[in-house]
Order: sequence, then C-alpha cells, then structure tokens
Amino acid sequence: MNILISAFFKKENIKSGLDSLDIQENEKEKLLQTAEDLLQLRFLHIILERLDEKDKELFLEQLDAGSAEGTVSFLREKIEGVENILREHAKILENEILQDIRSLKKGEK
Amino acid sequence: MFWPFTRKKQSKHFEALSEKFEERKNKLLEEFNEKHQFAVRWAIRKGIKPEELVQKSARGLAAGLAAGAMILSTTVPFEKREAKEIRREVAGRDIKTTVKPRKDISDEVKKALHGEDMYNERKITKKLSKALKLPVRAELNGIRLNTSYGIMGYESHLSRYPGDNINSHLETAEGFQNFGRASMAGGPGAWGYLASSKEALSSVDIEREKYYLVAQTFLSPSWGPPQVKEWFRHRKMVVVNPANGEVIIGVLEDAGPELSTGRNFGGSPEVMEALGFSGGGSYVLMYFVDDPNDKIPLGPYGL
Repeated sequence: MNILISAFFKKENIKSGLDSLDIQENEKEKLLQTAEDLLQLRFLHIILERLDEKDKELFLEQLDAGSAEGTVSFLREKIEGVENILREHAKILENEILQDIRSLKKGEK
Repeated sequence: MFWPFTRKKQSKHFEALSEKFEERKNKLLEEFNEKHQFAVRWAIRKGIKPEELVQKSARGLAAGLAAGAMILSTTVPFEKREAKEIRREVAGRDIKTTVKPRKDISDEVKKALHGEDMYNERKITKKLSKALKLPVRAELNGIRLNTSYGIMGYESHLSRYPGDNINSHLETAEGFQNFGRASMAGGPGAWGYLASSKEALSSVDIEREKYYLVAQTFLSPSWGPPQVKEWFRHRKMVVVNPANGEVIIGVLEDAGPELSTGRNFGGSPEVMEALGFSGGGSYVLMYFVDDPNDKIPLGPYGL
C-alpha cells in the first residue's frame, strides 16, 4: 500500500496537520490508515460510477483475479484520464481531512 | 496507585477525528450500497461478503492503479514497458557506477547534536563542521536561507529536460522499483530544465536531480536582486536528520514548498530515502556547504 500513498495520496500534509494536534504516535498511525481506507473506498466508488454494467463485471473479475497491471490497462482504456480523476479525488479527500484538523484546532481557540 | 496494565487514555483530538472519519466512511458505504447494487450482487454470487468486496477490491484496485501512475508521465502504452530492462539512457556518458565505501557517521552525528537547540545556528554549525569535517555554514557570501531547521517534505522527480519521463529517469529496475512510485513533477524546477535535451544531459545533471533539494529561497532575507536567485541555483547543501544522524549532500534545484503546506524544505525521493523518511518528512537541519571547487560529491555522506 505504500505505493498508493506516494502515487496518489500526499500523506505528509496530513501528517504535518496531525503533528499540530494533541495526538499520540500510534493514534496518528491509526488515523492515517483510516484515511487510506477512505481513499480506497472512494476510488472504488468513482470507478464503478464510470463503467457500464458489462465493464463493471469485467473490472470486478480482474480485481478478484488480482491482476493489477491488467486492471490498469483496462481502466485506462475505459475511462479517459483515470489517473487524473483519481488524483483529483485524492486531493479533495486530503483537503477535507486537513479541514477536519483545522476545525478541531479552531474549536479550541 | 500505579497500575501497569491500565490502558492509555485516547487523546481528545484522536477521538474527535476518528469520529469524523467514521462518519465519512459510513456515508460512503451507504452511498456505495445504494448506487452499486450490481457490485454487491456480484460479490454475493462469488461468495464474497459485500463488506469484504469493498476492502478486497479497493486494495487491489489501489495497488494496480498506483502502479499505473508510475508511468503517467510517458506516452508509451503500459503493456509495452518492460520494467526489468529499464536503463538510464544516456549514451556515451561516463556515469559513475561505483561509490567508494565510507564510514557511517550517523552515531557520531546523533551524539554531537544530542540535547542541542536546533535553532542555535552558531552552535550547530560548529558541531556539524567538526563531526562531518566539512565547512558547514548558515550564511555564505552574505546570503542565508529563512531557516536552517524545519520540516522536509517528499518531492517528485524533476523533469531534467523537455520530454523527460519516469522510464528514462531511473537507471535500473531496482531504482524504478524504489523510486518510480514517487512520480514525476509536471515540469522542471524553479531554475528551468537541467539540460536542453536528452542528448545534452550530463552525469552532473543526473546527480543533481537525484539529490535535489527544495528551499524557500524567496523567503531568504537576501532575496530581491536577480543575482541572488541565480546564486541559489545548484547551491550545495548538507541535510541532516537529527533523529537518526543520517546526512546527505544535495543541491538546490527548486524553490518551495508553499507556505500553506507548513513545510520548510523538500527533498527528492532519493534524498528522503537516504535520510530515513519512507512515507513523509520530518524535521531536518539544512546548511550551506562551502565548496567553491566542487570537490564534495553529492549523495549520502560518510567519512
């Protein structure tokens, strides 16, 4: 999963945000893991939204078979600019999380 | 009374954030179940529990797409690439392939910095110069950075020449595996491309990109005249991770990060790896190295 974080999710911004809160190291790790889970869920949602019924099935079958490269090729063919779409959504999630962090800090002032 | 097995109380902020995250997750799951009945039915047919589907599929998907993202910056179709055969394509160039083994000095550096005020430039300069046997300077030629201690963030690879991509960027399959995931920046650094074309790319340019650093040069108290901006270009710096004593020599090739990020410096994927930062950055010391004859090589530093 490290590869995902570096490719789509700039975790260090969230880490910096968490550093400014009163949170223990193990708690930070848990929150970052939950953030990743959220991102994965969003990715799946976004992809399925953009595929027709037949392609959805093919896509799910490929995932089930664990064919990462095949899945990438398939999605690139079916969804134009898929990586950019996902990158954009990763950025949106990152901003939402940073907003959550800021609102916690604000609430204390 | 001290009770050794008492569970540590969760932080107030952790509880509040976990709650927010959980809310987001539940909302997404609700939406997913509502909109993607097809996927839920497919999972049931396959004997996969719907909740497992999300996790299993999403994780597989994430890894697969991230692998695809490594090669975003190139126009060659994915299927035609052979990661195992990736070589640095600089025909006829004498790229150094061997590095003389050096003594690991991380323990000495850690010891030298132990208990010191990281913002005390005078003392840190003295300690580092002695431990590293290097002319370490907070100010050089009357120019200094806005800070010599701050958070370093993980940067993408820089485009070294127009059309540069991740495949032509990494020397070996191992390099591709280790650093390909960092992806490519959309363009060159603040001073433009290192070379005008692939053919013009020299071994010096390659090393400079590999060990490139980013600093907020625009916040330097000396900032203003164009010659100051030019002075910063390729400026040799030493970066130290005070937590583990790892040291690297790099050069400034980009300006940033933006103030809003909360970070003060940036490092190439290779720099971050050498400093021991795998996911994100943390606090580092960054100082000038007075090396007018360019004798000190770039890369992880040892004696």
